[in-house]
Amino acid sequence: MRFFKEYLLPRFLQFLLVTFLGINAAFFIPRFFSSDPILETISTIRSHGTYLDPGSVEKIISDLKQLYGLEGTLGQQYLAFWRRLFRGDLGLSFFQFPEPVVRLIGRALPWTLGLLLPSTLLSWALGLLIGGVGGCYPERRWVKVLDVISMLVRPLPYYIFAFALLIVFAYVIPWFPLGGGLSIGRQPEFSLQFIREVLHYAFLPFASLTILGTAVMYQMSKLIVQSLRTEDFVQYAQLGGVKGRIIVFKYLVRNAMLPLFTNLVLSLGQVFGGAMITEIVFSYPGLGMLLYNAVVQADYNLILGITTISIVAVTTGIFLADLVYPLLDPRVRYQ
Amino acid sequence: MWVIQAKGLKAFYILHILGHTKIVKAVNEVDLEVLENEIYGIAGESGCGKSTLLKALLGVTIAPLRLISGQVLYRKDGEELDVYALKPEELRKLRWTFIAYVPQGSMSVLNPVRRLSRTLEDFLASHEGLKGRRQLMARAKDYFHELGLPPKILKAYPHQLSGGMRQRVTIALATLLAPKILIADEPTTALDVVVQRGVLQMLTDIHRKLANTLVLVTHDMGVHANVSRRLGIMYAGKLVEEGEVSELFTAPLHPYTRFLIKSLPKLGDKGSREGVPGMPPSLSELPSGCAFHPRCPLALPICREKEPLLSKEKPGHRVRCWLYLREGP
Repeated sequence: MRFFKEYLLPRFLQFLLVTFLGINAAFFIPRFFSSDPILETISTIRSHGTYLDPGSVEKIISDLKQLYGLEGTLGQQYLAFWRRLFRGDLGLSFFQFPEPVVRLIGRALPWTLGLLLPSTLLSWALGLLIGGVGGCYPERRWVKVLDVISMLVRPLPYYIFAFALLIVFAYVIPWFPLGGGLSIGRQPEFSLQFIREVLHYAFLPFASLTILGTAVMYQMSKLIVQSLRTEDFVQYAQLGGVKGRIIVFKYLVRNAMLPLFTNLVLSLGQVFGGAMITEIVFSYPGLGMLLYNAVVQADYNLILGITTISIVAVTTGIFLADLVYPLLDPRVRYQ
Repeated sequence: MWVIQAKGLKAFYILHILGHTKIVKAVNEVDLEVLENEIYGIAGESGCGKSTLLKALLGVTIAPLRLISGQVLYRKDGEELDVYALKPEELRKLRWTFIAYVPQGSMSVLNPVRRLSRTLEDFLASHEGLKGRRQLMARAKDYFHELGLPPKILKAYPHQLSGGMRQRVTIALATLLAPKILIADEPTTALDVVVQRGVLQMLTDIHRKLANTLVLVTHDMGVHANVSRRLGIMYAGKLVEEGEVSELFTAPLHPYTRFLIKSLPKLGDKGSREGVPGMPPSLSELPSGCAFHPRCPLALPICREKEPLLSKEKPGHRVRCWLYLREGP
């Protein structure tokens, strides 16, 4: 019970508070902008050359207000927003009317998760291990080669790196498709062929994320391990003749994991925001692409919906990390 | 018969700072022999090179520390081993089975994220091969029991133990494989006196039980008076006096040793204690001649110019001071 009262409860309250504040920010910030989405929509319609008589303008304004939840005072809007949120209703998308935002997100989420979860986990584990071993033996030749590679890859802007991969492996050597998640018109089905196609389309975006992610993790993990090597308990184990393998994995990598674990959880939370640039470069139908289109088309309900989901995902991730962390570091106790 | 012998041992820290090379002469021409089954004490002020001497004796010279010249020999099963000529793997095998080390500041020498039992297991498994975790654990438990440590602390993490307990665990860890030589670097520093006594008791008990050699480094002369049998006094990287503890405490020869002895409190004596005047010299800029001459009340003109040699004053008593050198320069 002490665990519940002294460890879980404060963290849970903090989780609720941060989520609440985050969603509030997502609600209020667009409302403080000087641009009015309704007037902008009308001017877009007008700029297409459509004539609108004052009566239909009034009608459009009231329809749009209802659609955006902009009816009534700010207070009423606020309450209505929370009421809808608890029902799981994020409103309707404006540009793919009358599709509910929740359904759009639900359709994009599997793509994003399928792409980002494996690449985040793989690059974390791979970078930690290689970087850990590399930090222990910085004078080996393969470590120096990896150093140079990661030093070359890491400062590359991601969009250039991804684009270069696309040009080389989809255009010059057409091994992989130029974009998309599936060939056009393909219906999802449970067959080996379908899975193979999904993997084939996902390969380049996955590789671009994993290579860059691994390079970043490799460098971080190597630096942490190198500084750990001068710690007393590592030097003492070395002096005591403890075998190299035990020192590398149970002393160095194990301790380097602690700060990097926080890193992992935060990036797992960010998965729910999508990888916008990746998805745009590879025209991948995930959340990032959805968010990009929503921003370009000023689809406010959709923007708010995606933002809300990623806020909840990040705070949940941090909350879970808080729960798991004492298992990794015994010095942090459930109290 | 000796078990460790240092011959003309020189180990310097070579630091490169902004293009300047700074040489810290931490261990400078040390000759010593530590005998079988004795407690050999090493004393001296902070920064006189005691810990570095231990590192050199252990064969651990990690940059910027470098062995400049000299030899360290171990005698193992009647065979003389030149430590600095051994291969890394041979040296690794000698550690803990032949020579073990209790470090200074054992607060941070245990892996913070592993239970003590696991740390013990790492040391055991690395030297004896993995013979099954249960067997290793049983041995560790027996050993802890033998030393009067509660076996249940094997399940604890290092941060859950008090400072004294951690020091005892470190000693237990170092002696787990019954080494012939145990080197303890300031094992009682940072502990309160009651705990100090317990830790020293444990060290001497183990020494008696294993019939091994204990090299004990501390600046605490009271500890040496109680525990050590022979004592070497270090000053500025050099051995300045060495002899039986009883003799050193009753008839110290070197002026520096006299200061150290005089500074000890005595029962019934209410006078104030006098320290050594001045400051210890920087090991990178040693004074000319005898390094102690700027602080020495008995300094002769020659002390400024030439360094005295370590001479055998009496059998088993050596001193490095011009006051006792019969032959002039």
